[in-house]
Amino acid sequence: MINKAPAQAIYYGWFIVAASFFISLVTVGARNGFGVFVIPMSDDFGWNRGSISLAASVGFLLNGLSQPFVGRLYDKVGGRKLMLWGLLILGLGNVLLAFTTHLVFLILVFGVAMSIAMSAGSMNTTATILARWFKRKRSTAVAISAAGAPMGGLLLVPLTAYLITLTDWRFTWAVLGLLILCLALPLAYIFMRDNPQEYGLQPDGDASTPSNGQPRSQTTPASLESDRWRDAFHHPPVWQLGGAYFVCGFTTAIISAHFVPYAQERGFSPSLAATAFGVMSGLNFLGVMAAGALGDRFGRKNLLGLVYAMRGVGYASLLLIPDPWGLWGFALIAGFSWIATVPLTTSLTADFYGLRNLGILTGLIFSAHQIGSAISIQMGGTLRDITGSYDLPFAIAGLFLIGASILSFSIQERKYSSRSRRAQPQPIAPGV
Amino acid sequence: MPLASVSPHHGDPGDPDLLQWLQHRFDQVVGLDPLAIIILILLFLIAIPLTILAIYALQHRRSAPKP
Repeated sequence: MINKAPAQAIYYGWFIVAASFFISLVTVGARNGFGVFVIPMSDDFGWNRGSISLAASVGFLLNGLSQPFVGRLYDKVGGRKLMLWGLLILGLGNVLLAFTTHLVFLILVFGVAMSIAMSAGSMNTTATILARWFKRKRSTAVAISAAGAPMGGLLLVPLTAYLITLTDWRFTWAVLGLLILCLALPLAYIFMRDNPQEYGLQPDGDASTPSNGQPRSQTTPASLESDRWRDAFHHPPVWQLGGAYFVCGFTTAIISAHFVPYAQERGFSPSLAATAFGVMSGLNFLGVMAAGALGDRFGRKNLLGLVYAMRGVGYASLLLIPDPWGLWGFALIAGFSWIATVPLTTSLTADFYGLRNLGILTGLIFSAHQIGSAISIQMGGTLRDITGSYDLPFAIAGLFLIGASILSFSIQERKYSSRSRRAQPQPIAPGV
Repeated sequence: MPLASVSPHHGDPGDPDLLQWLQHRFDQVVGLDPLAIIILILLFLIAIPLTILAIYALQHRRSAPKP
């Protein structure tokens, strides 16, 4: 039986979860709002959409490509430092954007500096920090943190839009920057800590010595943990998780990027399309929370397989069910699955490979996600131009999801996960 | 289709047209003055970290050691 730490009513890790939730909310929300700036900034400077989109494109690619490097940095310097620097640069970057006078400035600040800083303050970094603080409740903790992202989109995008309406885009950039600098950064400074053991705590708030008398955290090391991160690629789970996450990026980006032209092609009114998309975004929150809680209770890989399968059913609904019910079916079914992959993928990576190289491994897996996103966006547009409809690209996305589901179900969780391995007696070194 | 209009899945910028549609729909559903919406959202945003700090401070006062 595990004794609860008597000194604390609420385990300190949950404060980190709460802080991570808010940090995700503010940083992701502020970044989502870039689209709202496109029209007023283009109007002011006479830029066309393609020019201003370049900043976002550069940012998207750099954000994805920098994740492994930022992850490696995480493994070396720790998440707290990385996050504080990331938030500082993000906040200052937002404020600096208020002084934009040239497209190159926008590309350098938003596309380069803020996109790399976003990697440092991203869900990956918070998830990697949380993996140290939680083991049994790992996916719940990561899920709550990740739930800040859809909440951020729901709150900060309207805030951005209305602020631009009432004031102007320069003032709005400054407000977003100040939100990060005055709220998220201090919260991270106060609460973010890298390692529970440094403060005499154990993951999940467990007592340091359970009933068998051995330090809990040392009894069940991850079976694939190694000094060298490259060793991870000698075993199937990283390929399975990365492959499935590639499909995750592929199938979320294609619909988000092409949703407007798809809705126009099918003759949906903007009001209907916006409502369906809004409902889907709201369901992200519920889906990720449910996935987190269930992931700690049941096997994580089966749940991950189920999430991909659900999203596949959503795509089938979009293609096979007549309008507008197909759209609603997609919004309701796929909405649950949209971010639900995040806590499960991160938790499984930590369960299999341990914490030593978790930063770079989650960074690499996330890169696969972003590569999938980039390919799908271009492929969706190209196939739409060739065939005259989105049926083929969406069908490909649905087929990929079957593959991702099979990949996830085929992971040997019992064999590799530290959760399912029994505690091994530790040899006692002489003199200890 | 440019990469700019990428999913908001992992903190990427949203499609400007879609965001406009969403804003119009939000206006229709909520129907509040923009200033009121801004104030409500800002208050909510400020309340979250303050609540976290308040709970931590309360607990800390009850002799919890700060890690």
